This record gives sequence, structure tokens and C-alpha cells, in this order.
Amino acid sequence: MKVTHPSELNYWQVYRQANQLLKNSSLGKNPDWFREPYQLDRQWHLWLDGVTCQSAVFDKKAKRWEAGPDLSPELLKGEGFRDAAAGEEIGKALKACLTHPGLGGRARSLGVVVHLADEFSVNELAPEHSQEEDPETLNELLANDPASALGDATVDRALNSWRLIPGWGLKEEERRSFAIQVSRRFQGLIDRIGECGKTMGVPVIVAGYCAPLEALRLAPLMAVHEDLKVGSIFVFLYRRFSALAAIGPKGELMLLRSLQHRGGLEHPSGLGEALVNSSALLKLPNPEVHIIQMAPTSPHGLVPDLERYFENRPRFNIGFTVASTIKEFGEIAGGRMEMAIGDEATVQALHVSAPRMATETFQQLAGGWAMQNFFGLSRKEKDACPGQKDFELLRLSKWFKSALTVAVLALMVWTGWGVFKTVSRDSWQLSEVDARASKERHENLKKEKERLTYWENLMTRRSEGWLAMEVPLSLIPEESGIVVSEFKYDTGALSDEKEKSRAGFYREWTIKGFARTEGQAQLSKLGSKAYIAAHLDDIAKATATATLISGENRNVEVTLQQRQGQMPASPEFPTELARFYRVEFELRIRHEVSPADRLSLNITAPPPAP
Amino acid sequence: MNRHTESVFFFGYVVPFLLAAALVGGVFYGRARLQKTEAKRDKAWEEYITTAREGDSIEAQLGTPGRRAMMKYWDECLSKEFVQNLTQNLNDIQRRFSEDQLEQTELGRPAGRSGLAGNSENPYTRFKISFNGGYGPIQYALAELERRMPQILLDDMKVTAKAKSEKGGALLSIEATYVSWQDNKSR
Repeated sequence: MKVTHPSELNYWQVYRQANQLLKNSSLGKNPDWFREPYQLDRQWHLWLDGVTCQSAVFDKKAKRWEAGPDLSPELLKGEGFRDAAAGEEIGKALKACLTHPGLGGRARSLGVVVHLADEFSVNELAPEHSQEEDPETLNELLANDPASALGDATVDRALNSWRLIPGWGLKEEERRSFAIQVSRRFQGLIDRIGECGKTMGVPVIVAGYCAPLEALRLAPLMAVHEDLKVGSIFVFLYRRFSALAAIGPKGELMLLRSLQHRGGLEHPSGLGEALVNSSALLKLPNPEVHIIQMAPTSPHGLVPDLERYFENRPRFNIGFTVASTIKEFGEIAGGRMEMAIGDEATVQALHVSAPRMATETFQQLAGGWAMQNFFGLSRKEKDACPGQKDFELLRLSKWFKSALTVAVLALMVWTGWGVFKTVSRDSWQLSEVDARASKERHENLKKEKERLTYWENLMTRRSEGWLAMEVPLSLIPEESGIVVSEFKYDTGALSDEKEKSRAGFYREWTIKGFARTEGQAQLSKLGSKAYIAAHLDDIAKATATATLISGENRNVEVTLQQRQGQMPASPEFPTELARFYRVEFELRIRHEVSPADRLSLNITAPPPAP
Repeated sequence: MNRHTESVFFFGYVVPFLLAAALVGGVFYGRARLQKTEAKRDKAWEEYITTAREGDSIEAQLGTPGRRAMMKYWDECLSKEFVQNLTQNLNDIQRRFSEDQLEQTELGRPAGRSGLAGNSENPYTRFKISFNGGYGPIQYALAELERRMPQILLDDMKVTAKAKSEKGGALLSIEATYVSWQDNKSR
């Protein structure tokens, strides 16, 4: 898939490209894409010095080294990388490494570690950069613009590649870093391996590391305790050059230089002088010198040269080691100790016997400075593709979006259910017409009831003529010895301050007449309040009229006045009859109904007609 | 933060969050509106139920046999022209008796307030009638008049004895003042 640099895309296109990469590649799924090849579980190590090749395969899980696939002599010379046959050969080799039966079968990724041991030199940085305090920035400049960093316009980026190594033991007034130069002879091979790796379906990460720097990172393993007192000088002998590194008593890197092998020799001429000059320069009067043979060469002339040089000089304590014979690296196929950087567990185990491993120089080297990919991508090229954290963030965003979607959907379902329940209720089905009709019906019925109740109260039989006449008729029967000459009936309202809406009333009978002797007994009864009240009750029962019945809110008052008098004669009562009626009386019966009584009169204004 | 991280953060987190927030906001806004409508409809429903129940209750009360018919009858009585109706009824009643038995001597509209209905705000009118006659015919006449005109009630009455009739029956003289309720519609 073609990847466009984000600076050429807008934010949406950048996001879409990242999504497509996540979907269509294993970039987001396999974190091995973003790891260094020596950090992967399955590693193919190629140690190249321009003449020989040592190939080995290592599997971290299996903790085993096996001989790796061989490459053709043309490829080892740095030629013919673009040939189809080369691609086929590399493809087969990668497949063999990935599916190595002796290392646990197919791996999920492969790190191809190319140890570059063909050329090595140390350059001076341009004066304006030699005091640069930020090694990261300077390293970036050196990798991308070596002409500027080195102050040399003639350098050829097509032939060589540069990386920085900070001089942790250098004094402040001196230069602070070393510019390491390696040849690009094998970059074509590395690029082709990378291209072939893309067809493997799994991450195939390729990197070219500078073999002397790797050796330097492991140097403390070869040091002795004496080194801690006097400092030490390591000389790594390769086929075409030697790398000289001076380490101070505190384990700090003080000097790094290359010694080219000239005149067909497999060791540097004048090594003794170089050692003496370096010790004098660094003020290490009697350093421990370790000469390690890293390549499968035969530096036979080296020892006689050194003996000859130091014949008349103070001798240095010089040790000579063949790397392939160091027992700690014995399991590595071919004995190339640089390959041990891929076996971190073994290296860590060796730290116990290497006290200098804890110094800043070797901590920094182990932290990555010794394992710099000299043919790696520039920062701009790296920035073209999202990083591991971006993919993690992107993958996490899908969960985030899913969670949001689920939450929103759940909220919508919950709300939808609430809406359904709400609209299913009877209250939601009620139309405005029905509500208004019910209200109108209620109002009309209330008005009707109010009017009916009002008129029922008004129409209640409170005062009737026939009943008013019935009372004296009933109280004074015929032949009772009493003659009524006149009777009046009167009514009136009884008001109450507390009850403004209702009025009580009274009815009053005034009966005048005369009685003779036989009627006086009856007349005496009529003066009794109890008699009158009982009699009114009897009338009420007999006539089915409720108004005369005595009760809680009703009262009867009776007054009877009698005096001697003579009934005047009349056609109906001539003198001979009238003279017997000698008692004149006036009987007053007052029947009161209080405002609290149910028969009281509603005196409020009439309700409006419906 | 590089351009990849910025774009992933923006389109992978910020935009979805804003969209979700907008949706959630919309949903909650909708819910709030629904709840408002629901409260309104609940109130209307409660009012509907209450009015329906009260209406049914009143209907049951009004539905007591004869109650509405009585009101209808009263309305008919109240709606008739008063004097004409009174005269008609008195004539009808008198026709049942001879002059000796019952004789209407007066029909008038007295001034002044009623003692019984004077405090009422309902309109009323007063009338006074006088009869000569026997006790029974007069009592019947009053009873019949009060039956035919349920809106009247007796305000006061005075009864005095008179000479016997030619046929020998006792004669009474009666003056009765009545109050007659009026419907405010008919005023």
C-alpha cells in the first residue's frame, strides 16, 4: 500500500490513511513492525566483512542459535542485489529463517541483523558542531546532512553513512562526540532483503549495525579488574581495519579511532605507536590493552611488531583474545560476538562478571547508541507512517467509538422504551375534544346541580295556607267549649351573623277567642309548650309535612293570656249563648327554624341558568 | 504530538465524542420535552378522570327519580306569566264552589317587603287575596292554589269569623298575602 507523507495530506486524509493501514496491513496488529530487529524473537544475523559472511539464526523463545542460510559470493561482495536470482535467493533464505524447524517452527516476525564489519572510520565533526550538547539532534543532522555536520562538502552520501557516538569521557572543552562512518556497500543487500521481506506476510525488519560499536558495547565482558584502576584500551581487529577504543578508569569512553590495515596486512601497522600515543594523549600511563581478533583472519605479524616496538620502551600489559574462542559466546554460530546483542538474556547474565557495564558509557551504548541502524529511514521517512502508539490510539478509538455507540444506542433504546410506555398510557390517548367535552359536561352538570339544589331549597314547603289553617282547627276541636273569634298567621326571617347565606324563619299563630267553663281544661293544655309541640308533631305526621316537626334546630314558644271577659253577642252566638263564654284568651304559638336547619332559606343570589 | 496522533485524536475521539454528546443532548432535550408534555397530559388526564367521576356522581344525584322532572315542572311554572296564571288558577278553583261556599273578594299586589323572603336575593313578587267562605272551601282553595303554584309561600294571613251564610254554614273572612318566587330568567 502506498503511503503518503502526512504533510501532503489534510487531517481527514491522514486519519483515513491511518485507518486503511490498520485495516489492510498488520502494522497495527503486530507490534514487531516497530521494534529493532535484534529485539524480535526470531533473528537472522549476517556478519559481513566484505570477504566472508557468517550467517546465524537465533530464536529467543527457543534460546538457540542455528547456522543460517548462506548467501551467494556475489551478494557478499556487495554486487548483483537487483538481480531476480538474488531476490529469489533472499526470499528462500528469509523463508528458511522464518520456518526454521530447529527453532520452534514459523515465527510471527523476523529481524534481519546485518553486522557491518567491512569498513569503519571515525571522522572529525565540523568545529561549529563539535561542541553540540544535544547528541540526538546532532545525530539527526549527521545522518541526513553529513556534509553540514562534518563541515566537508565533498563527502558522498551515496557511498557512506554516518552516525554519532557521544564521548561520555571527553572533557568539556574538547569535542564531545565521534562521527562514525561506515560504507554503504551492503545497503543494496539490506534494501533488497527489506523488499523481499514485504512478501513474507509478517514483519521482516532489517537493519545494518556497525560491528565495532557492537563490539565496544560488549567490551566490559573482556575487561579485568585491573582496568578499573588504570583504564584500558580495546583494539578490535577486523579484516580491513581495527577499531581502537580507550576507556578511562571510571569506565568512560575517552577515545574512538580507526586503524586501517595497509599493505595487505590483516592487522594495523604501527599499533604499538598508536597505543603509546593514545595513552599519552589520554594520560593513561599504563593502560590495560585488550586486543580482540573479531574476524577470521591471521594477524601473524602483529605480536612480533609489538615486541619489536616495545623492546626499548616501557611495556604495556597487553592481552590478546580471539573472539570466537570466548566461551560465553560459544553457542553463537560462527562465534561472532557482535551477534550476542540479539541475545539480551545472555548479555544480561554476563553483566554480573562485568562491573563496567553499569557505567554511563556502557549503559548508553546498551541503550541504543551501539545499535544504530546506519541504513535506517530518515525522520521524514519514518514520519510518513503512523507509529505504534498512533495505531494503538487508533485501535483504542474504535473501542471508544463502539462504546460511545453502544452507550448512545442504549440511551436511545431506553428513551424509546420510555416514549413507547408514555404514549401507550391512557393519558396520551385522551384527545383534547374528549377532555373538553368531559370538562364541559362536568361544568354543565355542576351548574344544573347548583340550580336544582337552589330551587329545591326555595321550593321547599315552609309556609302553606292550608297548613296554617289546619293548626288552629286541630288544636281547638268543635264542641270543646272554646270559640275562636280571630286568628292571624305571620312569618318572618331569622338572620344569623355567622350564617350569611342562609336565613332561618319563624311562623306565628295568634289565636283569639272565648272559652266557657267546659273549655277551660282544654285551654289550660293549650298553654303548655310541650303539649303544643307534641301536637304540632302529630299534625306533621298526619299531614306528611316536615316543617312542623320539632328538632334540634327548631323551637316552639307558647304564650297564653286569659282574662275575664264577655263574648259579644252575634247572630251565631246570641246573648243567651254568649253569656257562658266568660273567659277571653289570646294564644300565641311561635315556631322557629334556625339558619342551621336544613329547612332554612338560601338567601344567596340565584345561580345562572345553564 | 505529530500529525498522525493529532488526526487520530481528533477524528477518533474528539469528533465521535462531540457527535455522541450532540446525540445525547438531543435525546435528553427530547426527553425533557416529552416529560413536559407528559406532565401536561397527566394533568389533563387527572382532570378528565376527576371531572368524569364528579360528573358521574352529579349525574347519579340528578338522576334520582323525579328530580329532573320536578325541576322541569318548576321551570314550566316559573316561566308562565304570573298574573294570568294566578287568575286562571283562582278561577278554576272557584268554579268548583258556589258563591256561598267560596267567594274571592280581593286580589291585589301589596307594597312592602316580605317578612319571610325579604332577605333573599332571589326575585319574588307578593300578592294578596281575600276570600269569604266556609273553613273547608277556603282551606281547600288555598291547598289547591299552592299545589298548582309551587313557587308561592304564605307570608301572612288573617282569619276572622263572619255571620252565618244563608244556608246556615259558618262564614269566615280571610286575607292572605303570598310570596311568589320568580326565576331570574323571567324577570
